[in-house]
Amino acid sequence: MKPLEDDDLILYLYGESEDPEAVRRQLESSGELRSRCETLRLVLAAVDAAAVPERGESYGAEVWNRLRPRLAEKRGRLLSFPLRWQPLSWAAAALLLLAVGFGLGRLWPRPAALPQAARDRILLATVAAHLQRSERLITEVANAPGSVDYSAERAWAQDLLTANRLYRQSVRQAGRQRLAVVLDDLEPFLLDLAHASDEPPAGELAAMRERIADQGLLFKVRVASDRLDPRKQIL
Amino acid sequence: MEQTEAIVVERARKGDADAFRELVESYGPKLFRLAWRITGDEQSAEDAVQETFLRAYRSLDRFDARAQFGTWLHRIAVNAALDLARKQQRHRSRHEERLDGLDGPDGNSEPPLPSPAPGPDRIALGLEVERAVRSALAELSAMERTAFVLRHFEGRSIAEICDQLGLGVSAGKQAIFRAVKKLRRVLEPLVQRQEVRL
Repeated sequence: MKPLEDDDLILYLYGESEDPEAVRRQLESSGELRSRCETLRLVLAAVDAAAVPERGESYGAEVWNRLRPRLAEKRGRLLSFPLRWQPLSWAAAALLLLAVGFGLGRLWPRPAALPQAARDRILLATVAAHLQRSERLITEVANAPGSVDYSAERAWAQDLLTANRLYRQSVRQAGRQRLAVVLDDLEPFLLDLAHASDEPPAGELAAMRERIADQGLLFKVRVASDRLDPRKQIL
Repeated sequence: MEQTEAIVVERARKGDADAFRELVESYGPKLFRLAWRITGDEQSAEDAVQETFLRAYRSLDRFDARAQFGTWLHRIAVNAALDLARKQQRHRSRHEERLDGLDGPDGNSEPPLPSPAPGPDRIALGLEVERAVRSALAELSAMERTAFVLRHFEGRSIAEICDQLGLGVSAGKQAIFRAVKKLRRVLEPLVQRQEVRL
């Protein structure tokens, strides 16, 4: 019979031993083992000595009072229709503008090309908005509870993924290599989420969150978005 | 009782603020105890409670009414407290790195033993044990501490803990084993003293 180790005793004391009867038999036959088990039991009992700080009877009401002002800004933020479809709305608006611009350009007697600097500004403003939306999605995934339906976030990621690829190509062509790298870094996260199941297992979510943390993705996206602010543009 | 809660949850889902207040008042104290045990810090526990209810509120429309609201809220609270505990540890690590520069590295990753007892005539032994427990719990990693709290104080099975924390069964067990070993290293000398009455 395999001699019992402390790990086996821990499982036994917590009622998680695979074969508690075998553990009991070994305990009965060995005084040394009984002593080890008793010490472990006392150690675990001692942990209960750490008293939780007292909270009064009105604690629940106090929590509510602190919470109430913050609720109005929170409800529905994640899944509100306009937010979920913003990437598509932006893309549609951009296409419409392009179409109208093209049509007007054809009709206008003296079409004037938009200066390069102006085109750059438009591109950067659009990418900044894309990064802000991505930042919100990353934050939601990093903080959302693990046991809920992720279909909305998945659809949101799919929209952002399509936009991300277009913008990356554009910024690369515009010579904004550092910005293109940020969009490169963002793509695997969007790809993972876009292809996740509607209710991803906790392990999958944990891995996604770990990747967000390990790669500092939220920070990178936030910094890039911040730096696209025209007042401190350096990317 | 369960039926009553289900009605309150349903009202809250429909946007009834009073119903959500009832849930906050009902679960607040329990969640504070859970969050305090995971974070070991009152302010962090308060923050975790707030964050839990905020996350729950904005996700209410995705709560499956067939599930237990308390279980769902518990999971959110564990995640919120674990996030805060990790932040605390990162902050503490950075702080300790700076201090190491002053004190010199000792390369010892084992938790320190509690400071020498001030004497049974001055401080009750119960307080000494309590202080030692807090000190030992503070040395656990955020994941070890959370897994241990869920097993020891919350009575969750290892399978439930692994599911909740996104761990494999082996990793979940190891987190608990490591936690108990670290606690034992600090507490065993106290426990073995005949004066201790547990």
